[in-house]
Amino acid sequence: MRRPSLLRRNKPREILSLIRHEKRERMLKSKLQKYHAYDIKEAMLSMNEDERKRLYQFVDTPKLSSVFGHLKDEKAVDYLREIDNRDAAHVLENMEPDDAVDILQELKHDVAVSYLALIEEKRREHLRKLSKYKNLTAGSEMNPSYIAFSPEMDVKDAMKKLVQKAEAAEMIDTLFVVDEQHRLLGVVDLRELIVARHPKRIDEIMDKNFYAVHVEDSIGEVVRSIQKYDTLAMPVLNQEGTLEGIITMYDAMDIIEEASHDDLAKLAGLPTEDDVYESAGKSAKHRFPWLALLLVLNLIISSVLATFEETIAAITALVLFQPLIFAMAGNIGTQSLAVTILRISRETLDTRKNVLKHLGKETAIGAVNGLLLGGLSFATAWAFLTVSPMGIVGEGVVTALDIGMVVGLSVFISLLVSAFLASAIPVVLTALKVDPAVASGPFITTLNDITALVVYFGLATAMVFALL
Amino acid sequence: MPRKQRIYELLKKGTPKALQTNILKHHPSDVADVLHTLDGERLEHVVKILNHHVLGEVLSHLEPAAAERVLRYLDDEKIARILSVMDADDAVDVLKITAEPRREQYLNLMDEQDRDALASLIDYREETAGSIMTNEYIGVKKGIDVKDAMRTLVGNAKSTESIQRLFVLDDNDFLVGVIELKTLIQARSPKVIDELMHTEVITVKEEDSAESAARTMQNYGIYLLPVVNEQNQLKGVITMDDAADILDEETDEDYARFANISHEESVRASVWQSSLHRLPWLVLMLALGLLISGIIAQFEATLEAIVVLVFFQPLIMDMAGNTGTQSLAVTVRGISKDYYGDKAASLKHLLKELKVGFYNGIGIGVLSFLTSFLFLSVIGAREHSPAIVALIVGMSLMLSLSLSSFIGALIPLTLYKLKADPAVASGPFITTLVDIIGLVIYFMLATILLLSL
Repeated sequence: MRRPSLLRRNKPREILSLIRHEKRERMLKSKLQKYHAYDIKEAMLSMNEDERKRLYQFVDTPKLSSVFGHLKDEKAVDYLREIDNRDAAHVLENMEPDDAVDILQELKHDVAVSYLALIEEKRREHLRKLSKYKNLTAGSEMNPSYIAFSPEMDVKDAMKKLVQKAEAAEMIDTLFVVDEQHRLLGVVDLRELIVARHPKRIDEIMDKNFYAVHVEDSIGEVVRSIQKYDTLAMPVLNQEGTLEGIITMYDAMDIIEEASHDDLAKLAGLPTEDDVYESAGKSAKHRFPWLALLLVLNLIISSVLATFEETIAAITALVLFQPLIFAMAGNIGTQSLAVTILRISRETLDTRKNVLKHLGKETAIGAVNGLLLGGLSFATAWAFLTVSPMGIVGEGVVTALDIGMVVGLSVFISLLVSAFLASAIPVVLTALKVDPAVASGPFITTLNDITALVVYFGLATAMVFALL
Repeated sequence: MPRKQRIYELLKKGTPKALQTNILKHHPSDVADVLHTLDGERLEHVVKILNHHVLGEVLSHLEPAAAERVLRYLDDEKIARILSVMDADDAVDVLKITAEPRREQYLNLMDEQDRDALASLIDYREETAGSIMTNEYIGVKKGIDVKDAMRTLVGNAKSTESIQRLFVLDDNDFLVGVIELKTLIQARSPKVIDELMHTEVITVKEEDSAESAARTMQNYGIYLLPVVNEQNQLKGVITMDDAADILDEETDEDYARFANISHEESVRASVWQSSLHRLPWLVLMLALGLLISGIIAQFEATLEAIVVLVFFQPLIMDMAGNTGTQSLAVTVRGISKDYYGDKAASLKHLLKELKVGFYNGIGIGVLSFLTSFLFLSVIGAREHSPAIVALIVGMSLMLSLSLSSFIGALIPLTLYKLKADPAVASGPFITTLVDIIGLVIYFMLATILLLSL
């Protein structure tokens, strides 16, 4: 991360101060209109309700719709409530349909219905249709604002049509050619159309060798094809090959960003949204569940420890190195986990062979690093106990060397097992259709801790038995 | 994968003629995937047959090192032609890893325009906006008629990567405005283009980071972002596909940072390489772990007297560590978004994190008191009353959560004010620090409440 330049304008802050201090209404209106929707959205996150209401009043509907399009769905739902029904419906009506559907699906059913009733009929039907597609499919993210020609059209007429429709279209770099049943026949690169000369039919300049996705394809797949083929606008087709909408590279970029950030935040048990502007109470509430879960999981660890009470009482020095083993096992687990989650989200673990290869590799890494760190821990623990002035080891038969050996061996085994578990569990969860990013973190950590404990105190107990 | 299979068959067995014509039916990205799996002999055969147009497109989709390997089979003249066909930014990436006498030679074989274009891009440092831009854009002079702008567009459309926007320049190449193609095609002559352009153009500087350029494009929905120098002269443009690639790399880096792996580790790295990449952090954990051992050793007497304390030690550390990490992550993200620019905002944030820690501390403190009391009663308490031990656990958690949350915010903010990168120094150090604080509170309370009373 880099330090933001101090010289750069902080546009959200400018907007905020406009809302707070600009008393001349006409001035406020014209100034606000100049800001990009993204900056207004950023500013909105630091406003209180009264300030936001002032904002709604002075930003025109198309811009406000665009601002709402930039908000996360849950936030958009919260803020929509602050606007009266008719205006809220207008905001939804002017939004890109895929964004509007996301928000409608997030709303309570009766609220959604009341908004829909206020939306212009054609648009309403369209939103209904889009909302039938399952979440995270190409259908749910597509946009209907594309331009299509018929194959026999002359390039001159096509250009005329393009000029007429350009304003309403999401993007005009890729144009589409469809037959009477609206089946996709080919795509036309705008550059080809611009340089083409009349008389020439559209189908002479179209590319029949195009890529398309299906309405039910997973959005992850779609995003990957867009990136791979550098497609500015990916056509989305239904069962009959009819063109239903497009997904742009910009949409794809947004989807990737949101997904990867959420995954990472979930892995670390962090809030997925900036909570800078929330009250302390609300933030605390958001972070509490994760901590409560850790509390419960830690009780399991406590129980395991309790079973080794006698060993601990006999050799208190063992307790010294327990955090160290946890820390290393935990860290090697996190490393394998992150690598695995990233590979799952990139879908490179698609065949059984790849999965096995991956597990083999992660386990081998665990073995190699386990061996190195096991050796190192043995040496340092031994040295630590030997130089320790307090005679922690006591007068018993157990020597510093013995404890050092137990520590070293435990580190080796724990690291090996941790690396394996942390790469295997997300794969298994994915196969069971559980989101591996959510479920993996706390459970793998706890499992690793328990493994480390059982190995460590188990070995120690065995040693005590052997020596006494 | 039938599509790739077909390409493979074509490359493996196709006659020269079939190769030349049928290759055009496939997407260059797919061809690139297959091409780079071919063995040397076949690869040489194939690339000698394919013409420079096809190869230019295909090699734009390969990693620079892989592209360079393919080029080795060709003579200098063909290489120069291929590099001229490739997108300028991709060609430069290949040239950057080409050794000097050959690089010079390729450039000399190109026509002047291509040579100048590539030569001007080579010197940008990695990870700057300049290094990912291309200088294929359509620029028009200020003051011309829309008809002439349209003519320039038609003349250059084919050789330009993206034509969504035209850039309006004055006589000194200063960027004065941008015209969206949509607007231009709707305009009618006579009209001066200045009337159609926006003058409030979002730009980045050549030396800005590639990441911030990509973020700007994502946030503002810009498909073609102009890159300017300090004097606001247009130097090039960044296309969205390159921005998407940059964001992908950033995601990889975020994961790597989270996992404490150095981010160069690739899927293809061997076990040895990967192990080595991950080792430094583990050694660091060992060192920090030893520090904690040292702290625990100070409380040896307390531990020996009250073994049950050991049962809750992982709980104390885990909770403190996680609270610290949560507030650290929120703070670092806030800093990157420039939320804490002034003193008041920083103080407000610190106070808030302290409160968040305190609220959760109370919640978790009460909850852990109850559960540990239950736990101790079930396993049968020894010489010490379960209520007192549970009270120690609960109180320690309450105190250490408040402090951890505060420290998780304080340290990155301090680093930021000292102009150090807050993301670098924080992760494992904060965890260790709050672990130590948690342990000290725990054992101190125990020593006071159980041993002294």
